[in-house]
Amino acid sequence: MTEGNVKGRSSGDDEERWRRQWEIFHRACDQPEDARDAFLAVECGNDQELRREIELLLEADADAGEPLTLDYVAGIRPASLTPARWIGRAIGPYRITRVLGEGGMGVVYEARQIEGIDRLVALKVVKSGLLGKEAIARFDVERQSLARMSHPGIAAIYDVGVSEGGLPYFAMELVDGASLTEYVWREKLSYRRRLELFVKVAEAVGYAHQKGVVHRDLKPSNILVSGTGDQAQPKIIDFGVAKILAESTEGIASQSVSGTAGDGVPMTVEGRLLGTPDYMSPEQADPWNTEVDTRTDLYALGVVLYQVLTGLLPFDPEWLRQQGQLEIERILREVDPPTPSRRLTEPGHAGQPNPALPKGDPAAARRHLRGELDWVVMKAISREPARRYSSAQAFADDLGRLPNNEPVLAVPPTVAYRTQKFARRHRAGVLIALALLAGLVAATVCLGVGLVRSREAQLETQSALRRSERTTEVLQNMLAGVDPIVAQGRDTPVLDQILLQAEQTAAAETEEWPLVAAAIHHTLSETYLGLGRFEAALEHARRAVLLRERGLGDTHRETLMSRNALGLSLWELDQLAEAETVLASTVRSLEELVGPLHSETLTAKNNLALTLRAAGRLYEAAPLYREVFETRRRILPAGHEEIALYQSNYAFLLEQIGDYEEAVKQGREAVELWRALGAKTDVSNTLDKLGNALRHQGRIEEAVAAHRESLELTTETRGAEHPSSLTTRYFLARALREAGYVEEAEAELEIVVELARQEFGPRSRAFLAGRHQQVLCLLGGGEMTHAEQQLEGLLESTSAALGEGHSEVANLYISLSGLRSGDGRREQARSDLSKAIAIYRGIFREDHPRIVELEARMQGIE
Amino acid sequence: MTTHLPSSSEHSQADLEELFALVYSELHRIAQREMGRELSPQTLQPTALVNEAYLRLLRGAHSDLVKERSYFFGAATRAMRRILVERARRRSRDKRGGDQQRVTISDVEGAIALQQRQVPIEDVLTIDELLEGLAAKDPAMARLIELRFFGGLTMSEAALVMETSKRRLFRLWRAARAWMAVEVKRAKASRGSEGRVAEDD
Repeated sequence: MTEGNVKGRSSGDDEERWRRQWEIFHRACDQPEDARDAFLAVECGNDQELRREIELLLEADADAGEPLTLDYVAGIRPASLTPARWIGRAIGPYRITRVLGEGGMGVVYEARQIEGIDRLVALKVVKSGLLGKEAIARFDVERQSLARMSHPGIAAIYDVGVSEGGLPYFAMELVDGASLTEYVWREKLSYRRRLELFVKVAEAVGYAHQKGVVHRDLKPSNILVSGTGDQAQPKIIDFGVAKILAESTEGIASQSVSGTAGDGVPMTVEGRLLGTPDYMSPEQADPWNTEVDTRTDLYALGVVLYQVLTGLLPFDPEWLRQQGQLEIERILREVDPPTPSRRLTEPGHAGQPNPALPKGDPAAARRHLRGELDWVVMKAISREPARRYSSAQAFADDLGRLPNNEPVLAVPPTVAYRTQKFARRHRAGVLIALALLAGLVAATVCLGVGLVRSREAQLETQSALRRSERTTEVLQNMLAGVDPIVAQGRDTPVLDQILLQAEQTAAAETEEWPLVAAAIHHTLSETYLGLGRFEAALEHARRAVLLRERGLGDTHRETLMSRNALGLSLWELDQLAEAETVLASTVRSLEELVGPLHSETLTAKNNLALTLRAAGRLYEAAPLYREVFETRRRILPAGHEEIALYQSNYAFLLEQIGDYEEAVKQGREAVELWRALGAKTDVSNTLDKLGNALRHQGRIEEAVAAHRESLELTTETRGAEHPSSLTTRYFLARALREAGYVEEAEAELEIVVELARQEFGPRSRAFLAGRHQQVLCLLGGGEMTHAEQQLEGLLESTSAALGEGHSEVANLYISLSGLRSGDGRREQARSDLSKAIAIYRGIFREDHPRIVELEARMQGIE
Repeated sequence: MTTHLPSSSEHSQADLEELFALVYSELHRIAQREMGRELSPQTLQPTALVNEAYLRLLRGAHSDLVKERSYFFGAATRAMRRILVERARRRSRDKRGGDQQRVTISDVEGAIALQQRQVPIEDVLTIDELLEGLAAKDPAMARLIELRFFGGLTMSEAALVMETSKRRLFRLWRAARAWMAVEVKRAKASRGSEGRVAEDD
């Protein structure tokens, strides 16, 4: 029990003792470890009990280790580093003159070099205890590689060493300048200037990468800008420092474990979310990942560009910090941030003057960013390293193309790509294809990364690396022969040639490098999916799956990605039975491999739901839809585009299975989400379904309002003659008629029928259903005989065109039944109705409200 | 985040009770759903639950009550503590029934301080009792542990509720987590001999 519970002390003593215990505890924490014993001996005197208690607490404190919460790290610091205490003292051959700043790793001082050259340096002194003596020996190696770097955009590292007191330090070129963002905002640079400046930064990073040096902690405060106007020169500080520190500490860990690990075999430090999460790449946030490479820098660089362009970070830093470490890791790994232009429209930013923007006006900035700049930034900060730029130089080059209006490598981010057919068909397929092909070079380099993830597979790393080198070589040769026009993605026939060439290459590689061939097949499959050429997509997906199953096993992540592509291709081609088998097993394996909440699992699950739905198994699809939607909603920030997408998908399905109440609820929420996102097309699509659900609930006026708004939006975005405007107009007309606005309904129907005839012909559903509604309008006017003949005619042509079992045929029987029971022909009316019910039974479950309603009507006729 | 801290007169005691009842029922519902869910059936994440409750209540009819985040966090922590303790009691009652689902809580700042990512729910009772004792001796430390462990709050959020500076809280938290680690270990050690007999089946 604690001291305080010991009997025989007054409570005042207890209080005093408790206070004293913690005071000594805190002061002991500030002592160097080897001095603590002596300190406790003095402070506790003869009170052995107190001393023992504090020792236990100190032990627990040490075990708690590096605290995992981010704001926590910044809060506690050993007193030995209280920066001001060092002014005037010497560390190595440097005398400290003032404090420049403090970071997570340590403190940066301005110092004067006492020996050799007389100069001022920036001296970074690392938190004590971070490095062991063995680690320090490695500094020499690193020092040489850092010394080889000489670039105007990189602050030189003069010296790396350890002070007499055991504090490791780095002496660096002292840069007098403001941080990149401060500079840009203070000078109110135009976008063109911002990009020019940023390109210099990217080129400096590219230079260092070529020399084999990775930064690992790129952020605006590590990029200082000196001079102004044309003379402005950004300089990156701390290049290579983070890596030295990480490897040195890992070196200690690995040596104590095996004594052999070290060179090039990266070790994971668990729970190492130590830096700021704002610039941290998803792979850095993944505790299982061991590979941090140049693409990690490219990600951070992308975030910096995001900030330079918008004044904002992709994720709101306040919000991010409130999430807790595990949540932050998950967000970084799984959530797509908004595009820069969209970020400016978010609540709190839209309409507010923003001093970080060139003219301070978010609306103007948004117009400037939308499109290619958005794409470039989003490519740079892709969650998958393989989708990012392959090098800093490629990044810089793409930015260089912008002011000249040349096409960029980056393409629109494709969130909806795996979820909705319509999205895919209307995207720039050609650009997707080219970006994927270019991305392939990077993708296969990344094969190595994928493999290192599983510990058992570490042995494969070597061969994976050789393989990726081979792939790169092959693809570079392939792309080198391509005309520049093609590289810009404008010429379809030549694009075909590239694809053909890729296919031939894959075939040629299959024997010797089966996994290289698999990677090419996989990419081709995704490319063809993007282009809407589904047979070809299917063929390549099959080959990729086969090769990967053989080479990597059934349950490897890469295999599962290919199986997912295979499932999608099958779904597109309506080979639903096989699609279901493939996707269901993919979902199961992914659940085991990466867990049920992982976005890849959810993507596969969503595809499975689409397949079940396409197969008419709506009731089985519904729980999957619900699960995908609810999980996404739980782990994504409120208002995220994907939530809207999944929620509207879910609402669509609810409407179909007749759960109108829930459909209305989900539909309304989804509409509001889309509205907030400014996605007019999606607002319109969702309003259509909402209107139908409302109509079935008998809320016909609300339905009219929904369809009316939908029609306005879709006409505005797609034009009156677009097929989706046609459907919307049909819905509106039907609701109008049922609400009693027959004249207005007739006017709309005239347009529907005419357009449908032109666009889709007289055997199309749109035309036939439009005609049906026209006849029903007549009925309202009392023209019975004429109407009955017309309905019978329509019944015949509709059955012929759409099949006997089509719901539109059932609808016609229902109309006929109503007409006939109205003038007393009950027998015939009941026969019509039973035919309609039979058709609906083939489509829906017994308890579908439509069937229930029709059966009730049947009772009414009797 | 709101920086405006209302004076206590802005909210009557009745308001606060209503807020607590509201938050409790919302959290209870969410917790119930989480435990019934197939995806992660046996783990509760206070941080996630509290955030979700916040967002839901913010959309609901009582949004004005919830808007003061400091009050909300305070109420949510109390509610979460009650839910977890109820669950732990039920679980220890059910223990004789055999065939248990293992229930843990995770993603909690306090759990991390105990050097675990997940805490078995049995430990919740231990911590609850320890906090009862601590509250008399050091109310601030007890409150901070409650907020961090049961409410899953971050330091910034806890600072908001306790109306104190983050820096002071860091210091207090360093002491608190050491204390919690030592005392939980002690309590378990003294209980271990009794508990083992019952568990041996």
